[in-house]
Amino acid sequence: MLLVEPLLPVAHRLAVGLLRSESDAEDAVQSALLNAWRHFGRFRRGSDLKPWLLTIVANECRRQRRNRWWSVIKGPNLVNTKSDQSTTDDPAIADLRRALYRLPHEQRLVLILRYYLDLSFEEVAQTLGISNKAARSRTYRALTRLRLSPEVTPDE
Amino acid sequence: MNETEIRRRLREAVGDARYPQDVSSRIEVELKQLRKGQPHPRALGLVAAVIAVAIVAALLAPRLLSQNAIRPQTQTTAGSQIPDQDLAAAHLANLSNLVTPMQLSAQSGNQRITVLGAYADPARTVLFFRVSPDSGFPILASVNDAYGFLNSSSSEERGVPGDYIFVLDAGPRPGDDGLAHLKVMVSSSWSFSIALAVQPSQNLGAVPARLSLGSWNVTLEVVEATPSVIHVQALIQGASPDEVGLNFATLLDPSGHGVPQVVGSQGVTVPKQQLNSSTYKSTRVNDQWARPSGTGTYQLHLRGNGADVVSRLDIPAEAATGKLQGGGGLQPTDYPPAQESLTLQGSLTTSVTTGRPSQCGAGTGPDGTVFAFAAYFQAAETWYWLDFGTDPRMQQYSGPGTYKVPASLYTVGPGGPGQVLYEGTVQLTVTSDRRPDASGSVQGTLTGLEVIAPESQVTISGTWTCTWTPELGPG
Repeated sequence: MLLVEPLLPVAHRLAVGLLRSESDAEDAVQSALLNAWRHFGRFRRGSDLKPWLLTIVANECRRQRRNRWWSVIKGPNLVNTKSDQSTTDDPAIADLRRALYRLPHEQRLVLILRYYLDLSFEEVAQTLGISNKAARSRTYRALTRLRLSPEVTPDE
Repeated sequence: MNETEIRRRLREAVGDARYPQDVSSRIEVELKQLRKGQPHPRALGLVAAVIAVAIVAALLAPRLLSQNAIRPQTQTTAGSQIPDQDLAAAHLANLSNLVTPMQLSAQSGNQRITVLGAYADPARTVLFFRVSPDSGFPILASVNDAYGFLNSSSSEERGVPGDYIFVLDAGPRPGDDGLAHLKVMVSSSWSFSIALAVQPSQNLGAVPARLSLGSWNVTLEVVEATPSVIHVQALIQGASPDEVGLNFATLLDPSGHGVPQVVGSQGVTVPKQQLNSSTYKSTRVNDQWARPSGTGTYQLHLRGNGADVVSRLDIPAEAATGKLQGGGGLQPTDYPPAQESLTLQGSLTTSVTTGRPSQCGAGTGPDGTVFAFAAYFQAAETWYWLDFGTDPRMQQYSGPGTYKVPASLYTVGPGGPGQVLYEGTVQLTVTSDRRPDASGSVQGTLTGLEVIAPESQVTISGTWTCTWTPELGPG
């Protein structure tokens, strides 16, 4: 895994952000790597490997959520959120978390990419396969839906 | 709200992702486990994916290969060299002369995969790949021979950077021309056509042989020495793969040290859709050990269900293997066929209608007159040698009649008859001992001797004939 190994932490972080479970995230990254290998022939040489891999990880996470007909909370595997430790202290964060995970996948994904992985809008656009303007617009709509009053402007 | 504040609040909502330092190694290990046919609970999904890919590839391979428009460009040049590190990773360090060098390249997108060489014997198929540029992803190939998909566990080894060795734990089946014609698909994007010699193996014991481990009924289907590995395949009735476990079989050298195991896999014997409470309790085990360089008597330990069976295996020198066709002595097929009507029942069950007699007739030696008959025959594509004849110490031969004679059943190696599998005394009736129509019958039971199933027996009955040749003796 020479090429992709440096990207595993960010791939894992994306999966955690989308699935909120360490073990599910690990499974998703594994499956995504296999998919990446299967389709490596489609990867264009000279392109950036990072958005290509993140796209596959995001798709795998969406597939896992869609296919999951059960709901299990794995205590030890839940990500360590500050709000988990102080939910009662900060109900606003708990509300925000609930709202975030009720967003449609595409909107949640764009927020995770932009604010949880710290990608530039250009990288977000590459990962989502959309234009830079569309990435900004999608981010704006998602933030608005979360009532976070963004200062970014919708260009789309 | 500015971006910094949004970022802070979203991170608080999502929480910290603690990236485990060992996750990459775990993923690599699990992928390897998956590819070695040892499914990890978390990798079950991947197993299904791999199986699906393999099935689809197997179904699509002939069609894809027939479509020139999407067939990768293939180049062949002679004289390619396979790095020693690659050969060592494939457990073929001393067998480079048995690896067929090739230089088959296929391009898909911007990535080129080259087959540097290949090796095959009845237990394994080894393909040496070079990937450029090196993606770092494991090579997972599906292999078809002329008879269909080779359904087996597999593993991947690393050689020099950029080189990948794909090992399928099954050998290909040769075609009419003696070569295995392989269609190799890599990741559904690269395909290769390979004609490959399959190195012969040497049978080390009577198969099929049946034994018990408590309530488990074990059938040893294959016990052989290939040029690169010692291979044991067993069918276990009454145990699931989990119950059989990974320590079912071990091989100890003459000094009692374990021989390095290169393959250890077990699985159910029916497709997943046919699994039920009965079929789940049927397991096929495939174990392989690196071929020892030394000759001698090794011990095969079979364990399970609270029982332990130890069997002796006489492993011939490494250099002598793989050359059954090229040995110095006469080969079974060097003797003309003769019509036989022999039935073997018990641990080895077969009907012999054609034999290759190598001894037949009466002759006089220092101890008196003897009559001897011996013939090669094949059962389940394995050669055996059956030998019986009068013993002057027991009874002098005095012409056609009925005699109590010693008889033996042997394995067949590069130089002719090899290890004794069964021995006993049989009743020999010589109807005619004159050329060209010597014939007679035989009846008796042989008992396993220094074989993997020491308590096994084979009953022989029926008639025999000879075809006279200059090589035939005595006479």
